[in-house]
Amino acid sequence: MAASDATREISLEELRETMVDLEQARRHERQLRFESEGLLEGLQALTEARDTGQVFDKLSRVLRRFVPFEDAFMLLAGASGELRTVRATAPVFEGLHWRAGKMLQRVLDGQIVCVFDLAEVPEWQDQPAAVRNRARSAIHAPLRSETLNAVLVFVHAQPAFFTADQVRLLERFAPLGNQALISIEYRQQLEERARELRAANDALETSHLQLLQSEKMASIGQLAAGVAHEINNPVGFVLSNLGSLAHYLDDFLEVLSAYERLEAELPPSLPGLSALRALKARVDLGYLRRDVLLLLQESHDGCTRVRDIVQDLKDFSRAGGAEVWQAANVEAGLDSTLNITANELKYKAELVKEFAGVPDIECLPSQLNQVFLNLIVNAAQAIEQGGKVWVRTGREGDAIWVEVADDGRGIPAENLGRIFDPFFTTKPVGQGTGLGLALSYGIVRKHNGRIEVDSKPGCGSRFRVWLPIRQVAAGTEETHRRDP
Amino acid sequence: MNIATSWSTATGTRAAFDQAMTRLHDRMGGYPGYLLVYFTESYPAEELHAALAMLPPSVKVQGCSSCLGVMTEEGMHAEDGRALGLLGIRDELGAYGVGAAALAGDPRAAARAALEAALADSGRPGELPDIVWLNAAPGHEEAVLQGVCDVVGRNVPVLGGSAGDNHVAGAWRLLTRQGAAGDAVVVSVMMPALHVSSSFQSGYLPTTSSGIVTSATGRIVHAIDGRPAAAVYREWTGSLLDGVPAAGGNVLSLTTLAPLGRMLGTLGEVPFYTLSHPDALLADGSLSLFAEVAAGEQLVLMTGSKERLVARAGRVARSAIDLGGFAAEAILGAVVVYCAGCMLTVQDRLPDVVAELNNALGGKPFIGIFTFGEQGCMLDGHPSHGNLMISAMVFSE
Repeated sequence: MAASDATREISLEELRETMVDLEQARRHERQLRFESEGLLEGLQALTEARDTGQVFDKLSRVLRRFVPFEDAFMLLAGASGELRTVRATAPVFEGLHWRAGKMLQRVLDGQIVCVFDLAEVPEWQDQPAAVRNRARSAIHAPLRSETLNAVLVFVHAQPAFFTADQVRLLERFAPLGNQALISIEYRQQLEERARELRAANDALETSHLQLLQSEKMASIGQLAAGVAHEINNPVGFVLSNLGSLAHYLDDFLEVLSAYERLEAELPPSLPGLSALRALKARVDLGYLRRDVLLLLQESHDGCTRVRDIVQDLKDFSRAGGAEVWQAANVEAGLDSTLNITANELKYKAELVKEFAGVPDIECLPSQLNQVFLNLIVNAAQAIEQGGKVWVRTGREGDAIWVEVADDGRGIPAENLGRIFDPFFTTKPVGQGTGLGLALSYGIVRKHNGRIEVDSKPGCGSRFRVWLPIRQVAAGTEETHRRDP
Repeated sequence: MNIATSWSTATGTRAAFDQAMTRLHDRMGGYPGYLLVYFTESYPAEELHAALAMLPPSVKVQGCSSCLGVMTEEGMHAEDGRALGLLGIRDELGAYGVGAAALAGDPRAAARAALEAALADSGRPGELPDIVWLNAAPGHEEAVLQGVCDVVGRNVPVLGGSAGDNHVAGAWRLLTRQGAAGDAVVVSVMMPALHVSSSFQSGYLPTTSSGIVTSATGRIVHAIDGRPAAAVYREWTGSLLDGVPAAGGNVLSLTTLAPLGRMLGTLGEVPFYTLSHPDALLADGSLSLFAEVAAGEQLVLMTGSKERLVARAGRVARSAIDLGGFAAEAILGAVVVYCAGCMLTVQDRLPDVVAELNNALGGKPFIGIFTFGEQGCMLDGHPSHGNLMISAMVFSE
């Protein structure tokens, strides 16, 4: 009977223990599922966060379901060791400064700290009464990444409100928040690197275009030099011959005058005289004497002009592939450029030159000529008919300036910020590449100068190029290195 | 971070303390930061307090007297009623604080004062402890627990045991570095860098005998279902108290396996009880218990067995490990509270109790004390006081 009772008791005890175990396992499973759901929700929310503020917003929204706090805020540790509130669910917690006392220091070191009575904690005693009245207990959780050290604070007006279970839940959430921050920082770093890469790529493309243009200019320079050489020789001997011819003609005309004086003394009956006079009348010798000199002068002038144009072409593209930094006068360069662009200007605009007699500057002359050419051609193209183009120079201190202005159509305000962008153009297809001003900008930058633009639609534009007279040592060396 | 225990049954308080402390120091490779000192009344607490002066000032100490002996992983230690056991914790990253106060007629206020002193001593004022470890003189545990909850609320695990003596003669003592006293409460707050988990259970089953308390004063039940409580209890227990005169008398040793249970709640469909140990039948027909009851509460006769009491300690330790989710290899040590009444019932089986505990804890260091009242969190998660209970506090990496 006793054995039977013992068996019954053991069986009952086992049954009871099994039921208790089952119920505890069920509770444990419910708690785990609850926490897992929270973690999943948190994970989903945090993957959408794009910055620290969003991490706080989303994390606190999800956590409120599991840790029923009344208010929350985020403290950010500064370099001085002090913390400040950077985000809060209620204005009373905004803009607060906190000293990192022992409690907050442990949180910054990675520990979650639950306080059941904030009145006992020195960091909280420093805070205004309005804050202390609203928060009597709190959980402080660290939120850390490689560069950021923050503290999430969840508060409640009731003392001893938070439990160890809630602390455990936050311990599970903490790595999630930290990971979200790290991901955001990586993403921001990647975006920054992508921006740098794009900028480097743009710079490379501009350099490449400049190189192409330089090579093109070098080719044109070589071509021009060859053509100039070929033209210069015949033009030279034509000019020389014309000079000789003029002398010879003077002699012929002198002899002819002597013959005419003699003719006047001859008897009219002299045989052949009447035929000679008829011939003189037929060829209009008087006209020929006047016109031959005129023709000769015009031929000389024409040849001289051909010689000058060839010289300008040589000057303009003198750089070729071997241009070196040298002292040069920009007004001479402007003259050469204006000669080349004369045809572009003469039918639509009046050219006004106002040169101040600026000193020579240290520069790459052919590249500056390219800048002037772009500005002058743009000025001409901005004018429909009957306009004016001003080309001025001046000096201020250690710099000179070159100004090209027109009274053409002007540049709309919305385009002003883009005119130096590569490939930006408002010209019809085929009439502009959009590279002129971009290359000009690059060249002026290379000279340690700058370009100012002033434009008003309907009134015209003014481009002023500032250039230092002397390149500073480092910049000069750098520039020289880049431009062999 | 480590935990170690040591013990001594040497003659002479100082000799026993020195021997145990030397062993502990050797095992830990230095002094602990936090030290539990449990001893039988044969070692006067005042002499132990004097011995504590040899420790570095940074060592925080809590202790109390245990009934007839102490347990460690090395066995049950008692020699002619003498035993001293130590458990040391080195946890440089954690925080521990100890406070004490004289009960002085207001146990609730004393508990508040002791806990506030412990929090201040931890260096982390206002912070929620992971666990509150409590020893107090027996008799006012409910009020002491209320005082603890006044400060930290009801969500913090509170664990502990009431000081015992060898002859239930009021010779119990409480000990801290501040002094030793018989009518006091001592409290530690623990905020360890390691993990801690606890369990609090009894080894008893409910019977079908039950009734409603119709009249009670504190720990004295005057009437159950309108009838004298002593008579009702005699009826429920059959012949158990036949040897007790009609005028009443001490029944403590007879009723260990037949305590009264008060249902605290249910876990699923399983009711769980806190136990009250009847210690005397009074001449006026009342029944004296070791825990308070109130009119309107249902009392259920519980039944126990030696086998269950032997096995229960290991089961409680395993429950704490499971609740903490601890891996066996990560366990660092444990503190076990075992009701002195239960201990007296299984006195000849105490080596088996130690074996059960070693089996559950994987042979890791533990100290076990025998108390006159146990405190812990029942399945509802709130602190409560009970008799004939067993609790375990397990530390893990």
